[in-house]
Amino acid sequence: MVGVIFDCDMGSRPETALALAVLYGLDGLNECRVVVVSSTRSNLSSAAYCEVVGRFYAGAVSGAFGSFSRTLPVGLLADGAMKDDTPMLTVPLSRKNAEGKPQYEHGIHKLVDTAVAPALVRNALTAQFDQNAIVVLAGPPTNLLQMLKLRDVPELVKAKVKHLVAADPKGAMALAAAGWPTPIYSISPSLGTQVVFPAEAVDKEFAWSTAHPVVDAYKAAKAMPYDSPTSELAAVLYAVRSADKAFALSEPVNGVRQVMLAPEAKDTLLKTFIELASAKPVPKQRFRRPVAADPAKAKPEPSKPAEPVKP
Amino acid sequence: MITQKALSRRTLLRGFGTAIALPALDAMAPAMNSSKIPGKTPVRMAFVYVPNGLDMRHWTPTEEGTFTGELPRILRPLEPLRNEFNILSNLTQNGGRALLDGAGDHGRCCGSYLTGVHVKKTMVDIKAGISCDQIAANQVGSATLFPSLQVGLEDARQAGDCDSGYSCAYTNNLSWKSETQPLPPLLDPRAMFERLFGKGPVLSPEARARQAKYRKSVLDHVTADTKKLQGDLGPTDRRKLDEYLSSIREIEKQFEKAEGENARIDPGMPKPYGVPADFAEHFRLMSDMITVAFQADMSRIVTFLVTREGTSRPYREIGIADGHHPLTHHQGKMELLDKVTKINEYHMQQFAAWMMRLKSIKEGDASILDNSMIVYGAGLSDGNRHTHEDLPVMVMGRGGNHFKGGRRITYRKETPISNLYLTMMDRLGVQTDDFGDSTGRIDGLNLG
Amino acid sequence: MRHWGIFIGGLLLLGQSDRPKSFDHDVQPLLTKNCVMCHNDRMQSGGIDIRPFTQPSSVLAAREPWERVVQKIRSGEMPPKGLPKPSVEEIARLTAFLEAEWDKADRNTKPDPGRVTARRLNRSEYTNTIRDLLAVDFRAEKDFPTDDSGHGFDNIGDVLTISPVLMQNYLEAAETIASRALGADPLPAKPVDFEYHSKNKTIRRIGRSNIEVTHRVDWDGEYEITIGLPGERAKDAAPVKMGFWMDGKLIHERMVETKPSGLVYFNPYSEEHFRVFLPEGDHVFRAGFIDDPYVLTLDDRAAFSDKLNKFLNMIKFIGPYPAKVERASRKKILICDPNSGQACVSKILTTLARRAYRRPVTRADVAPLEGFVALAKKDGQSVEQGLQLAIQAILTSPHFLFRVERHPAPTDPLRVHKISDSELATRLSYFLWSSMPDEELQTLGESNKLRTPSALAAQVKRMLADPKAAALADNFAGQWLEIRNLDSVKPDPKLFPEWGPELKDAMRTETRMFFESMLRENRPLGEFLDAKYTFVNEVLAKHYGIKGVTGADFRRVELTSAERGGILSHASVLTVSSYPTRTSPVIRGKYVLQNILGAPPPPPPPDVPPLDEDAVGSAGSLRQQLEKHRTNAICASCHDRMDSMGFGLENYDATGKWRTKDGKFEIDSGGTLPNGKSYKTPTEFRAILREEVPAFARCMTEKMMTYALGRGLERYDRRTTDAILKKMAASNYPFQMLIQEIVESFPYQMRRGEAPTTETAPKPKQVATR
Repeated sequence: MVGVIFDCDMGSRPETALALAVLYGLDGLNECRVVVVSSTRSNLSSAAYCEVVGRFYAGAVSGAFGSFSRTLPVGLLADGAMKDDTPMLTVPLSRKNAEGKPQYEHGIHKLVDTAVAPALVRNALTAQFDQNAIVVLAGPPTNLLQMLKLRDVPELVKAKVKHLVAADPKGAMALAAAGWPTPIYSISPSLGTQVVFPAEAVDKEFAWSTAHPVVDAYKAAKAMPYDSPTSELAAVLYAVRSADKAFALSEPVNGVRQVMLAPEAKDTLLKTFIELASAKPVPKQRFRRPVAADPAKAKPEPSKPAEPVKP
Repeated sequence: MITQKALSRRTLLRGFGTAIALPALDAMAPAMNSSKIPGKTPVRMAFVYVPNGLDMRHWTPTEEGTFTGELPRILRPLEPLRNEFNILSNLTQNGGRALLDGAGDHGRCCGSYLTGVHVKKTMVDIKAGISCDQIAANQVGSATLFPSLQVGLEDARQAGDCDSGYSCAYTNNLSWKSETQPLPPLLDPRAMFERLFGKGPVLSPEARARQAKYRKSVLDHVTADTKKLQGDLGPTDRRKLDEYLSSIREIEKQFEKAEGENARIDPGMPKPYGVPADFAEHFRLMSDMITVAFQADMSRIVTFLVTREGTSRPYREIGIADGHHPLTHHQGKMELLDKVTKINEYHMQQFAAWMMRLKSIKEGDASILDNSMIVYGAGLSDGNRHTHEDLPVMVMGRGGNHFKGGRRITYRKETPISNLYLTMMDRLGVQTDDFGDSTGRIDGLNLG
Repeated sequence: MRHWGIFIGGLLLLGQSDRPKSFDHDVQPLLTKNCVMCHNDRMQSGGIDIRPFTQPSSVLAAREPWERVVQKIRSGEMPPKGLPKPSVEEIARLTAFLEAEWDKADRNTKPDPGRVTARRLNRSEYTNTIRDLLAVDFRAEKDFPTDDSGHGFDNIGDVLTISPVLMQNYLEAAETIASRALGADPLPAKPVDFEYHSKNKTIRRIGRSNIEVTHRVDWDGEYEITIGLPGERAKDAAPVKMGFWMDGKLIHERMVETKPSGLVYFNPYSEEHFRVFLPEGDHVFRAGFIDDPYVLTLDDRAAFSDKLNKFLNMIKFIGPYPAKVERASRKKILICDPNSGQACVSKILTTLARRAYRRPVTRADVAPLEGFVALAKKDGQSVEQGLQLAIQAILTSPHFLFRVERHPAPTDPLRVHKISDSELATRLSYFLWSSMPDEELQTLGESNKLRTPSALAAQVKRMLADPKAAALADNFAGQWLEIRNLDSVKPDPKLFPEWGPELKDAMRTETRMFFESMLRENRPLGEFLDAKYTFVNEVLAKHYGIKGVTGADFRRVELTSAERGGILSHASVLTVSSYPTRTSPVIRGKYVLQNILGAPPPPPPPDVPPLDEDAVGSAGSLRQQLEKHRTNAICASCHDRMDSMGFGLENYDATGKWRTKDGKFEIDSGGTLPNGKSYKTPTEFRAILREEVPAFARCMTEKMMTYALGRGLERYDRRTTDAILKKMAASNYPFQMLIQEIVESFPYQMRRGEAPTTETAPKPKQVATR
């Protein structure tokens, strides 16, 4: 099963939280494994929030180093000054439960609780089968550009990474210019604005959970109700389901192909986004079989969110 | 000690020729102003490896930064030296991980330890990388008689496989001269003594000159012979003979240097007889000789494989009858864990005694320890679960008034331990941009 | 590919009616039913898509990956626990079909003899070669670093490397050996004495009646040994036999009185003196009483009380004294008087070089050697000193240190050629003797007569009868059966008070003698598994509870009780497969699978710590605990196989002593193998193993081939092993036939070139190979 590396700048846009939810939704369907999550937002809460989401869905981030149940740290860019916290990070992180304890536990309290992103992603790649990893970029390409400069990494990427999907054409261009050695796709800006994630769905579709970190982040980011663009969601979806008929491809320009909305596909695409983003956590099994594509089965019976792992 | 009688012949032999007397090791040695070390004092680098991970509960100080209060149990023997070392947390050896190669963490973690590569899983056509001590030895080792020294305390396993399809070469060796050529450690104190201080009687200057000449002519002859022979061979056979030739070149250089010295070092210690049954004694003998080698500037680069990864050696001298490796798979049982800690402590006591000797030997205004950087550590952190992150890493010594000690420094996760090696190689004056899987230098070790 | 040995319970279950039929019948259904659900294009679990394997053409087109698939299925690793498994018959059918296809394909391809990398002499080969070349007793294992091993043996060319340390050792050893061989260094005018005494803590006590010391003998020569024996025993105490060992070998023994001497001492004391020849080098000397039950009746205090006991406390060496006979090495080298002129010097050097290089030599070989004699003479040295220098050069030469085989087209992997008769002679002698060819063998090789009909077989026969063939027991069996590890195991003396150097030596000797007798008497291989005889001395007989054996000498005994039979009841084997404090059915089970049946279990999956065997004693017997753990699905698939083999040996404790209880728990040494066969006693277990003789013979053949060729076996060697096994099966597997067949086999007689490698810099991670 293909492994996904998700590099983002969590905390800058509410869309990113939704994109991560879509990714875990695909993971729950056994269409991919989340290998590693890293952030270029030089801010501790950014990493902490990524871990909160990971624990909410998976109990632990999937073990990329060939382990049964080992938690992989969250990668974070730390380039000197820390960026400010944003409400979409601080509100869920500071939410308390009935006993006055944090609603969402995480293990990131100091910078050293996070991993050096280029090393982390590189190391995670070394543990993947050839052509069995996909990189999703949902933010600036800083981490990936740094990684690409390390010795032997271009060969490693070439061997392991099937392709890279960037939510933003600028990131895609920068990576192409830096010699990223496998195919690069970027989401056409128009797609992200044509298909918007409706505020209504955030209210309704996640109602199965009384405390959902993605909902909390979304609602805290801006005054509700508001709709969100979906470039990052589309990047995740295209990465895993590149054959989805909702997508069309442009000819390559400077080594990057744009992913566009196929004609008449707007509604189905939105439906898919909502389904995946609001999917319930699926407890991890050691041996996973694909879940039938039947949407009724795609949402299994409510199950307990997996046990949070002690830091 | 051997009785005086037994010593007589050796003592007698020492009477011949010219010999530089070094201060006796067991005395608190006075300053050694050896003319051998002109101007700048050299910096030494050593790696001391202990197997099967450590009990990390009793290794890592709870507080970040400067040590406060009592040191953790395993580090306690180092109390008198508490300002001389740093504990580095969170360093990772990614090459030791399975990375799709399945079981064999013991074989892998030792092979990757100083090479920073993911070694090839094989019983035969072994392949690792050049280890950092050998990169340093290649670049700066020519300053000393021995570019580097390899020592160990446990003989290689003689039969059977070493770990799940990994050649024993990975667990028997720390230093790799090339990807395919490991440098086996010397285990026998006598062999080490003879390597450092020469074999057989001290010769007269004429006899020495003659020996040197004859050795050179013999080596010239066999070199020429080998080159002729190589012409008819396939690539692997040729590579084997290349190893032979490169080894010849290295000892030729060593002999030339030794000739230049025109005197033999008297280590001030009796020549040891074989391998002592007592572990502590064995450790002491080997570390004494490394100390002399440092003191007389015979070598600046050492790797020390205390025991082998996966070893099942019991430690009856401290009341532990079970093998080390089975014990480390303690599954969290306190009684077994405690035995592991005891073994860790026992190793540390030997190391601490050695470090204190290095501290006691003055070099100008500083001590040998001040002019050294000695990494003590293991290729696994938790021996029970075989983890390759947050390795136990200690850097002892000031690297020539360069490192500030007495602290626990925590790095960010996934920081390669290769970054530490790269930083240490800088201190030796090695020119290299990267090493193994390094992503840069590490900071925080330095003064100020 | 190794370990293609018949999988227990696999092919054996196939009846005649189940012979493989077709891909669609035997292979495809299993894949579709059991694999495709995860290994499809969408899931690609583990990076594998199995669908290409459902095409019949893949059997030959993708053979290497197929072999890995089969191995995973066969070992039970796949499908993983929790998913439906194919039946044993289905697996057997799949395997049988594929193997038949591959065999067919192999029969149609050009046979490949493989290629052996130039091998440097390992430590035992160096030692033996020096002994046979120059008659000098030199112990390379004392001076040289340990040789790395591959495939379980330390004579594999690819892993034998040369480091600068070893090179220096070679050079210095050459100096020492050359000097010792000619004896040019005079002995000291006066003998020197070395005393090791308990009061100075210079001796090690091994048990109560043994003392040991490591002593360097500086010159070959005779030495006067004095043993100090304080104390006395009761008036009617019997004399006791005292032994003196060098490096574990008994070199002197005598009876010693232990009763009061009648002389009046303040502290009773006596000494024993004797003279022995000792070779130069560091040696471990041990003096002690052999078979001394009396000390076992004493407590620790009494054992070293000179009023109650007689014991040992001192070893003294005085020497050297010139040996009475001229040293053998001089006789061997100085075949004429070198002072008589250049002709003799040339003759000496030609003879030596020819023997040392194991081939005919030319002027080009000898002329530089003569140059060394001239060089020494120019420096005012004697001719003998010049010869010494030339010998030094010979012993440092690649022609001596390496066994290089020439090839007309060394870089052409398709060009197969017969190795020369001289090279064959060398292969033969290092295989059977771990040493150089003797004169007869070398002459046959040089005159190209080694391959004449019956000559080769006759040579093998002759060589196996030679005492030097004991090297096979030391080096092949010592590694195959892991007996060499006796030196590194450390049974807990509190739990196993009998453990000591004599018992250890006795264990080693038993297995060595047994192996040698199997070999020399050409016994059927099956006897390794259930021979009702063995070799013991008093120490070991006592350990085994065999009555009526006294003294240090070993003798053959018939085993009449059900307790022992075959090598798996040898204490040596049982000790090296145990922990220091207790037995381990897991290690023993793995030992049996790996070394006896040639079906080693796959390594544990990543991240699974070895089975927890340590919680023994309180909660239940070891067995109960292991069984509990085997309910863990991940562990069970392999541990079912391993443990059920190990339980059959539970009646032997961690030093191989018979027992019926483990602590307070009764031993239950029954078990059921994965093939459904069950046993209740070690005898029944042996009987089941005996039925696996074909698997055992394959295992041993593969190991022996590996050892003989000095390389790991490859897939193309399978044809050879199959042919050998077929032939052997027809005559009930006589041991010497195995050797004969290997020696005459294609890979042993032939060699091919090797394509130049186009290797690039190491990638961070090679292409995944699963």
